[in-house]
Amino acid sequence: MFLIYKSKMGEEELAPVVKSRPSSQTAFYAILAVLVVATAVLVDLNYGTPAERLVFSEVVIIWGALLLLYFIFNRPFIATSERFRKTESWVKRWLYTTNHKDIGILYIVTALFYAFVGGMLAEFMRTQLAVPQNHFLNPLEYNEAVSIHGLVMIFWFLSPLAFGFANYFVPLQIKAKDLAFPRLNALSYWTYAFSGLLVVLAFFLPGGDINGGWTLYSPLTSNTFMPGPGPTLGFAGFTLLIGSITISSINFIVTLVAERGPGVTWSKIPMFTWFILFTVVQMLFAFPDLLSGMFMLIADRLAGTIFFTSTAGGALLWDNIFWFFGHPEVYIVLLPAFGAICEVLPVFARKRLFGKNAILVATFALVVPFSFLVWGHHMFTTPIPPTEKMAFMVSTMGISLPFDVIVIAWLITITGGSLRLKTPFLFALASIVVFIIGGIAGVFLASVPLDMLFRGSYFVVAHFHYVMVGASVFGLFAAFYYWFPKMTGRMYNEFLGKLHFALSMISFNLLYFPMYFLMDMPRRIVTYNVPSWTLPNLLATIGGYIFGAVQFILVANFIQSMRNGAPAPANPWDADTPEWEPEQVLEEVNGGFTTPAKITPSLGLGVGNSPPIAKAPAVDALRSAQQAATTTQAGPSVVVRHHVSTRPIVLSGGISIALLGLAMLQYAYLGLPILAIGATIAVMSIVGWAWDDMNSVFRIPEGITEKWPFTQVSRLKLGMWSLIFSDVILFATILTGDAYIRINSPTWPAPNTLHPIVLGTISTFILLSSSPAAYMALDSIRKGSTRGMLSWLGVTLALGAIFDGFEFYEWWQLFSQHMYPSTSNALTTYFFTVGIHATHVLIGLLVMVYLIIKGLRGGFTKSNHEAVEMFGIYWSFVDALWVFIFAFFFLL
Amino acid sequence: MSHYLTLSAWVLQPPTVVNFLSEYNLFLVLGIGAAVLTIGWLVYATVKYRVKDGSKDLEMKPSGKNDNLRAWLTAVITIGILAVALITAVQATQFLYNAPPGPDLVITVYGFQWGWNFTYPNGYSDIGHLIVPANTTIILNITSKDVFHTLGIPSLYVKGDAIPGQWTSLWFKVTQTENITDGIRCYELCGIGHYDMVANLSVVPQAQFQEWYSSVSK
Repeated sequence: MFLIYKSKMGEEELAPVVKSRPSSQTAFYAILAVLVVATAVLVDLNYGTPAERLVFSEVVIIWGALLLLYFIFNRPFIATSERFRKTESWVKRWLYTTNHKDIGILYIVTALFYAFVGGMLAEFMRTQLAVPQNHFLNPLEYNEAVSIHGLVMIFWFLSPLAFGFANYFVPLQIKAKDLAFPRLNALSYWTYAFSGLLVVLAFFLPGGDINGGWTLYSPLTSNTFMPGPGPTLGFAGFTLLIGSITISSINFIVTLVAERGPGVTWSKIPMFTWFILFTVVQMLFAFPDLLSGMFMLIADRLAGTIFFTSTAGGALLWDNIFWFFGHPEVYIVLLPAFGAICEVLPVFARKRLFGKNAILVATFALVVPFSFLVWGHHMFTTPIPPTEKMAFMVSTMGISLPFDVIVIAWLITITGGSLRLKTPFLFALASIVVFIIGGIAGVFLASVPLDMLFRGSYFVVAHFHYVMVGASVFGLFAAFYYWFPKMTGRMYNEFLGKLHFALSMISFNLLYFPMYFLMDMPRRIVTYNVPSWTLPNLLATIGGYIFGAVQFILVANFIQSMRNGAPAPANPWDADTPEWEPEQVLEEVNGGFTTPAKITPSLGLGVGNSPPIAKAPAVDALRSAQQAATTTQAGPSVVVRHHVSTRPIVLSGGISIALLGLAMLQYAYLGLPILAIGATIAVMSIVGWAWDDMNSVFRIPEGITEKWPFTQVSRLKLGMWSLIFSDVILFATILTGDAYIRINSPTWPAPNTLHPIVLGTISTFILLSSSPAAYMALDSIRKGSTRGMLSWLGVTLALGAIFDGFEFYEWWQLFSQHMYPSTSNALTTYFFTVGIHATHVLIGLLVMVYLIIKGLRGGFTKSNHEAVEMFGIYWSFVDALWVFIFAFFFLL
Repeated sequence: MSHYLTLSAWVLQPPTVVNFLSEYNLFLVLGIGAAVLTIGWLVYATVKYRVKDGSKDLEMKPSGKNDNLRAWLTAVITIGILAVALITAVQATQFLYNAPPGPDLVITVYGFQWGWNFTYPNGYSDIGHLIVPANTTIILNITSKDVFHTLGIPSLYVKGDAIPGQWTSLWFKVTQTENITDGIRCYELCGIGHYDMVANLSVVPQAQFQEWYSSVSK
């Protein structure tokens, strides 16, 4: 895959390399640092353990690799060669890009990498289960494999693959220039990529990786039952991913509302984009809930809170938090595939989509809201009241209705058309067929009495693999083949595509259909000794091997076609959605997109407009009269339409290193230094990011568009409201969890016994009085007074700081009385909730420091002070939150 | 699978089994029916309306207003199927949570890593073996000593979670004496011994049970 980019331009047009020091050297020192840290970590973690000898050999291997690198990188003739400069430019482009197409490609490639990771784990499991009483994996390894397979496949493969396509095609389908926040988009990608590496890295730490299943049922996830830095790192990586997803959801929502191109009204939005919108709305609702659950879990493991280990909260609290997120998640991975099917079916059936509005209404009015009302069907065997179970049964069976509407609409669409059985269409049909089978099995699982057999059995495994692997992945494969010509400018090999389809469909059913018959076999058991389970397991393993192997046909097909495939016409499928229209290529170097100085010149090799990975675009095939008019003379590949930033990757890297240190903190001396290094890198890149903003290094123009229903709301403000919306869910979950624990606790301290009301009231008044001060700051700058704004910001900053001081004073008071988070349920909830809120205040304080510095430099004017307003919204929200927290802990 | 369909044998089956199977068979018939109809439709349409690869200049046809009738018809049929399924499911659920009156035996079950402890009213407890009398309503009160487990008896179609600090109840009644090795299993991942968290189930005649029960009484 390491292709050298070949430009149509002559050599003399290549920009000179700017840096005097070859980046090979930088890379060498970076890798050197990583290896030294890795060696130190290994030695530190394993010193004095039985694994010491093993570690020695690993150290030897690492330093051997180091020597090798030395010889590779320090050979000057490579470092200065033209070839290397091109490679360097190529690498830099992928590391620093913020272009939605590039990031889309990165998402897709990374998702396929994680699919390989998760797939290998699956093959290990199937090997272990092929025959009874097998000893290929030991129980711990099996439990790790089963957990990480589930997590990686859902969160690091399926959703990101869908969002790779969304990144690439949503802006094209709505004629937007890019996503609303390109750097945040890059940040989402890099946190996603690194968080997965953290989870994989956890395998090699003491304690192993997460081994409690992807549902992470507590209290198995507590320190008592799953000790060690490995699981903590896994949870930290997962939490980081949730952060990435939240940023991404906000980005897409704002893009869809505020960045649509001229003339793209809501009614003109294509189906795929609609389904992405539904998906991100669900994500914005569902993931903050899981985020608060993960915060509680990590606090349990690191700070000694007892959310999931005490019987007041415990297993049922986690169940509720997890499945309130977990069931919508099922639709989050399903809906993008549905969107792709809605695109593919009409194009290949040559017949317009039947009941487009019915599909949209069914999805948005029924699936999206109802997905949050069915989580209880995962809890039919818990002691929740039977009436609740029946209510959940009704809602769960009810949610199958909108899916019936969608499937019927699809069937009517293909009936009477002129079906061209190309690979994308075949995969779309395959997706529908397996969705029907898996969906009907889902109705079985909605029934309480049937759950008395199926709960926790392989029937469930069969069901959700039919809907997730079958419906979702096949749907995304359809999208992959469908859009491949657009992404690469080349056609894929149709025969290999059809072969991939046929073998996938056969082996998929061989793999999962036998599992429907394993109704009494428990999930996640490492081995078994029941004669009737042997044959289905063997068949599934054979199917699993074939299914895994045939996926390489797809990879081989795409790699081969990218290099040597037939040039693709501009619109090979005669589709009429906007992404197939020839693109307007705009000269944007000086158009406000970015300042030319910040572009690494060698990055200008057609990024953004020409096919990203393949060779030079097949210009002849693309050239139409319309396009010829819009492209510049030298062809599309010389147009720089790109903005780069080193901040996202460095920031994500810093956070990841910090999390590694955090996980090791209790177990190794190196934890603290690693945490400090990571945090320093992260803080420095945040400061750098702020610096970029202050100096307008990275700027994208506001979209010119119809923004209904938010006609007067700017891009930033909409982003802020979305963020606050997700924060509301976060705090709602936390406070609901607190209330749940309080109701279930046998005792709870009366008001004014634990927390002095007087102190609390004073700090409340201080915080609340800072809101008017923040408003006064905004008011001043609206009137044009920078001085007034700075003074009022100073007042707000002081009040906020005093408030946080009061909170920490009370913490200190409690600590000095030997009251810790682990002391009681009341203290657990108090420390956690107030801690999260105090962190929000702290973030507000830091933002104020930024605003004050920018204000001092004259960064705000009467007409340009959006950041102050954004801060005001955030600050008022944080203040309002405190009222609830104050009432809960101090007054009630 | 065949025993699901032999209706005459149901008379002798335990009530929880009959409850499950009647529900399951209904779902199976409706589900397979729906699957055959929809997938059949899809395959038929695909085969009938396919065109050769080389066909060109195919205009997009309109989506077709005549299909509205077909859509409504299918929707009504699906709603009917779901309604039937739902009504029976509600009935079957109510059955699950109303233990029949009559002689019963309440046994406390503690799940632990990794095994089951069955404690009888007389204080006798056994790890890994549940002995119950036939034709008696058995009520299991289940909890856990450490992590989340799920007790399941697949042959009787009952299942209940063992959660620390929570109590789950289930009931069953067995009509015929039997001995099932590993008849009780854990259905929730609970650590490295999850696969081996099994217990045997023995159903013995009432007289024999009384004899055994008094012999283990303290």
